[in-house]
Amino acid sequence: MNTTKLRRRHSRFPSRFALAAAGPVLMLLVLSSRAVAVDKSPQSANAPGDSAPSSEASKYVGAETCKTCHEELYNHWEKTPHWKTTLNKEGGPSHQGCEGCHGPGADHVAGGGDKTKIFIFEKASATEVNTRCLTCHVGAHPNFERSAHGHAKVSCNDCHSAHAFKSEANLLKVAQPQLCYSCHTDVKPAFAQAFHHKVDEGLLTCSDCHDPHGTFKGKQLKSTADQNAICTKCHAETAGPFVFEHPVIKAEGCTACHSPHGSPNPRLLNVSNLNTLCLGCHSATNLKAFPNAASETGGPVHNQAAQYTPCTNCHSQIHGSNATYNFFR
Amino acid sequence: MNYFRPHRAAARPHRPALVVRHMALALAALLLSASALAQDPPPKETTAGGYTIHQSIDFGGRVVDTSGSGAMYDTLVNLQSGPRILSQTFDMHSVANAPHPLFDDLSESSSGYGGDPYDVTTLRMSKGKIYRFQGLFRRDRQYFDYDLLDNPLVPLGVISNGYTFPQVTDSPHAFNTVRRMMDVGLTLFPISKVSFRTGYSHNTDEGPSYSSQHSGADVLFFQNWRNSTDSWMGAVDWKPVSKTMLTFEENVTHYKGNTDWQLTGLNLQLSNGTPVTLGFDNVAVPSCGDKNPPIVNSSTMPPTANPTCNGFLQYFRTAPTRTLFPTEEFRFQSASIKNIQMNGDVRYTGGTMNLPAYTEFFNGSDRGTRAYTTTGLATGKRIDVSADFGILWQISEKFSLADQFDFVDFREPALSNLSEIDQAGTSLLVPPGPPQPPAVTLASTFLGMKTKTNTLTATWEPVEKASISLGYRYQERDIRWVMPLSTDVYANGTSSTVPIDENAGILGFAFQPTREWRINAKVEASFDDKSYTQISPRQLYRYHIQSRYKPRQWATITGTFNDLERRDNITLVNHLDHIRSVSFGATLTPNPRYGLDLNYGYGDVFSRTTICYASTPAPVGPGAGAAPADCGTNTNLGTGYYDAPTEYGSFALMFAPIKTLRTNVGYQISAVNGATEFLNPREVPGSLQSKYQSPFFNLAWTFHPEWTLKGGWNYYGYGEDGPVGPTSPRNFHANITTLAVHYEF
Repeated sequence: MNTTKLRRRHSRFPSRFALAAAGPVLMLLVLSSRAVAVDKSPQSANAPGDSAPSSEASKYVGAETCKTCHEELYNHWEKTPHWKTTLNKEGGPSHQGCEGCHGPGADHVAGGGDKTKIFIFEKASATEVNTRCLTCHVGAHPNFERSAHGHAKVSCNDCHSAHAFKSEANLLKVAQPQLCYSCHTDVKPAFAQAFHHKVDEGLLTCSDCHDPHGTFKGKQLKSTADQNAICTKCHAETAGPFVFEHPVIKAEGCTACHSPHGSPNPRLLNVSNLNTLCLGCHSATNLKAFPNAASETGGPVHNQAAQYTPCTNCHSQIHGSNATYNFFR
Repeated sequence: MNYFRPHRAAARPHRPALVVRHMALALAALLLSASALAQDPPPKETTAGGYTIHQSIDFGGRVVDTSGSGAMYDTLVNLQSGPRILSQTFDMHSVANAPHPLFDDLSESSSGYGGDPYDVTTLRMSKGKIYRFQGLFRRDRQYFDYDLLDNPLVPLGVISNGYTFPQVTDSPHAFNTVRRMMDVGLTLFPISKVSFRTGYSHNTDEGPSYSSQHSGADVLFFQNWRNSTDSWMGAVDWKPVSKTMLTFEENVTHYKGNTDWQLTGLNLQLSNGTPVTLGFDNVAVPSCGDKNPPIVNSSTMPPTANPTCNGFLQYFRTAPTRTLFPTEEFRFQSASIKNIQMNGDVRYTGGTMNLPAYTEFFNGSDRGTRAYTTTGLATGKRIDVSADFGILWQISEKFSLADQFDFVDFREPALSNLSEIDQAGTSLLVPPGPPQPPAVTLASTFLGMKTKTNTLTATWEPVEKASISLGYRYQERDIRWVMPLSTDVYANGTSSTVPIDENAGILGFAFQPTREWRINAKVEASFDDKSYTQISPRQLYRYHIQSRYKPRQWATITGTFNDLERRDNITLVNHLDHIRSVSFGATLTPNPRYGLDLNYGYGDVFSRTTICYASTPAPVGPGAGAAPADCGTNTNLGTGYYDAPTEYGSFALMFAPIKTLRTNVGYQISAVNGATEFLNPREVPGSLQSKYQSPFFNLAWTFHPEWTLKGGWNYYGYGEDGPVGPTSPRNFHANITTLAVHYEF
C-alpha cells in the first residue's frame, strides 16, 4: 500500500476542506450573532404556518365563509388532504382551511371579493408560491430550495394543484410520467426506445427513482434504505456485498454500463457490443490511464474473431460473485 | 432452447378469430345488460353508511395478432390475447368529512389484471389526524430474448462426421422471470407534533432464465431465480418547534438469494446412451483428447459424442445467500431561524452477507478433470457511514448562499473458504477416479470508498424574474481495493488506493421574461486529477438549456438542449463520449373537444476509447489497426467507436365531436441509425440500426351516463435495417385490438 500517498492526502485534508467548509461555518457564525428570531417581515406575516397574533386573528374569516362564494371549489377541496388542516387546532386560523394557504380573507370579503386582498397562487411568483407551500411542507421537502428544480425556479404550482388535480395521491396536475415529460422533453424519447424501463406502461414512475423535491444526491436520485443505489431496490441480487466485487459498480455506479431510462441496446447497455463495453476498461491501454488498473492483467487476450464469445458467457456473474474472482460462478 | 415457448403458447392462443367471436358475444351480453340498466340508471356516486362511494371498472379484453419474431415481440411488448380487467377504481369519502371509526377516505385502483405483463394495485386510506396508510403492489413479467445478446454467433456449417453443430438462435441468457413488489406504509398522527411511521416492503424475483459457464466447454444452464427482499421500517418524527423536525428512522432489509443452476442443453449422447453436451458455442469443431472427431456417429438419435472431448454430463450449483442490512438514520430539518433553511442526516448501515453452504457439483470432462465437488462458505460485511448537511441562507432579498456537504464511507471486507475435491479422468465413459485431496481456496478481499463532497452556491436575483447562480464543488474520493489475485502491478493481497480529486464549477441561469415564459440554463465543468477506469472522465462539460412557454392555460410549448461531453484524453486512451440532444414538445388543448400533443427529439450518443484486443484474422473496417507494444500480447488496436444517433417523434390528437364521443389517434417512432466498431466479422448492428414504431387509435362512446364503450387499436412494429446475422430475425409486427366496457357506479 502506498502509505506516503495516504499520509499526503491526510495532511492535505484540512487545508483543502478548510476552504470548502469555510462557507457554512462562516454562515453559522454570522447567524449565531444574529438572534434566533421568528420572521416578522410584513410580506410573511400573512403566510401560513406562523401563528397569527391576536390582532391579526380577526383578519381570518374561516373556510365556511369562503364557501359562500366559492362553493364548488370548497366542495372539491374538502375531499383533498388539505382539508385536514381544519383539524389542526394548535396553529390557529392561519394554519387552517382556505386561509391556511391563501392568507387572511377578511379584507377580501370586505372588498366584495377584491382579488388584490387575497393571495392568488396563479398570480404569484415561483418564489412566493414555494415559500408559502414550504411553510408547511418544508419538513417533507427540505432539499427543495437547493435542488435543480429549486434553482430553476420551478413553482410548486407547476406540478401540483390543490384544486384541479388529476392524480389525487399527490395532487398532481397531470399524472406521471406525462407531468415530468411536459418539461423534460429530452427524457421522453429515451422511454420510447426499444429497450426501456416500463415507465410509459405504468409499472414504474419517475418518482420511484427520483425525488422531484431534491435529495442530497445528483440528479435528485433516491437511494435505498440501506444506502445502496436505488437500482438495487428492484435488482436486489446485484446489491452484494460480494466476496469478489466488480469494483466499478460500487465506485462509479450502475450507469458506468447501463442507460437507465432507455437504450437502443438490450439490457439497457451503453453500447451495442458487449465486448467493446468490457474492453473499455479491461484493456491494456487502461494501464496508461490508471496505473492501479481496474483490469487485473491489463486486459484479456481472447481472440475476438476465431473464438468470438460474449464476455458474459463465461463471466456470467458480472455484478459480483462469492465463489470466483473472475465472476464465472 | 424452448423452455420459454410453452409459456407463450399458453398465454397467446393462435386462434384470434375464435377469441374475437367470444369477445363479441361477451360484449353483446354486456351491452344488452347495459341497455337494461339504462332504463333505471344508478347515480355515478352513491351515498351509503356516511360515505360517498364511487366505483368504476373497465372490463374487456385484447385480441393480439403478431407476425415475425414472437420472442422479440414478447421482449418488447408481451401483451397477449384474452379477457382483462383493464382498470378498476373504488373511492370512499366521508360525507362532509364526518368522522368514522375506521377511515374517512379510502381510494383503491388497479390495472392490468387477467394476463397483462404489468399489474398494479394501489390503496390509500386515512382518518383525520389519526393515520394515513398507503399500499402499492406491482407485478411484472420480464420476458427477454433478444437473440443477439450473449450469442456466440455460431457460423453455419461446422460439421463433424456428418453432424452439423447447431447455431444458437436464441439468447443464451434469455429470461422469463416475474417480479412482485409490495410496499405499504402507515403514518400515525401525521399532523401532530410527534408522528410515527412504519413500513414494509416485500419484493420477489422468481422464474427461469438461462445462464452459462465455461469449464472446458461453454455450457447452458437453467437458472431458476428465487430471490426476495423483506424490508421493515420504523420512524419517529418530532416537531419541537414550528418548521423544525427531528427524525429517527430504523430500517432493516433482509435479502434471500435462493437461485440455483442446473445443466440443460444435453443434445448429444455417449455410446452407452448417457446424455452429454459438448457446449453450445461450437464455432469450430471441438478438439478431443484422442484427436478423433467429436462426433463418432451422427446416425444415432441423438448423435453420439466422442467421450474424450470436454463436456458435461451433470452439473448443479446452489448458493443460498442471506444478507441483513440494518440501518439507523437520524435526520433533522429546520427553517425556524430567520432566512435560514438547513437539514441534514447521519446514517449507519452495518450489513452482513452470509453464504454458509456453497455447493457445486460437476460431472464431465474438463482437461483431465473428470469431476469436481466444491463446497464451502463465504461471508462479507458492508459498513456504510454517511452524513449530509445542507444550508440555505437568504442573505438579503436578492442574495442567497447555499452549501451542501456530503460524506460517504463504505467498506466491504469479505472472505470465502471454498474446498474443491477433484476426480481425475479423461473419458466420459469411464467413472471418475478416486477423490484427490481437497484444494482449499481462501480469499480475503476488501473494497471501500470514502467520498467527501462540498458544493457552495451563491445566487443573485437582481430582479424577480431572473436569477444567476454560481457554484463550486470540490470532491475527494479514495477508492481502496484489496486484490484477490496477483496482478502485473501488485501481489496477491496487496491493497491499492486510488485517490481522485475533483474541482467543478457550475453556472446557472433562471430567467422568466414574462409570466408565461421560463428559461433555464446550466453550464458545468469538472476536472478530475485521475480516473478510476479509462472510460471515467477527467474532464466533464455539461450545457443544458430548457425553455417552457405557456401562453395560455391550454397551451404548453417546451424545448430542451443538452450537451454532455466527457474526456479522458491521455496517451493511448483518448476516451471521449458525448450525449447530445435537442427536443421539443407542445401540448395544445384549447377546449375539451380537441387537443394535440406533439413531440420531437434528436439525440446522439457517441463514445470512443482506445482498446487493445486480439483478433485473428484481423477485422476489417475503420478503426482497426495493429497494436503497439503497450498492448502486450494483444494484436489489435481498436477505437471502441460507438455512435447512436436517434430520432424520436410522436403526435397524439384528441377529438371529441360530441360530448359522448371521444377519439384519440396518434403515432410514436424511435429510429436509430447507429454504427459501431465490429470486433468480429459475424457481428451485425442489430438494434443499433432499428425502428420501433407504434401508431394507435381509440374511441370511447358514452352511451349512458354510467356506461362507456371503448375500442382501441395499437400497432407495434420493430424492424432492423442491417443484416440479420447468424440468428433468427428479430423483426415483428403486431396488431392489438382492445375492446372494453367502462361502467361507473
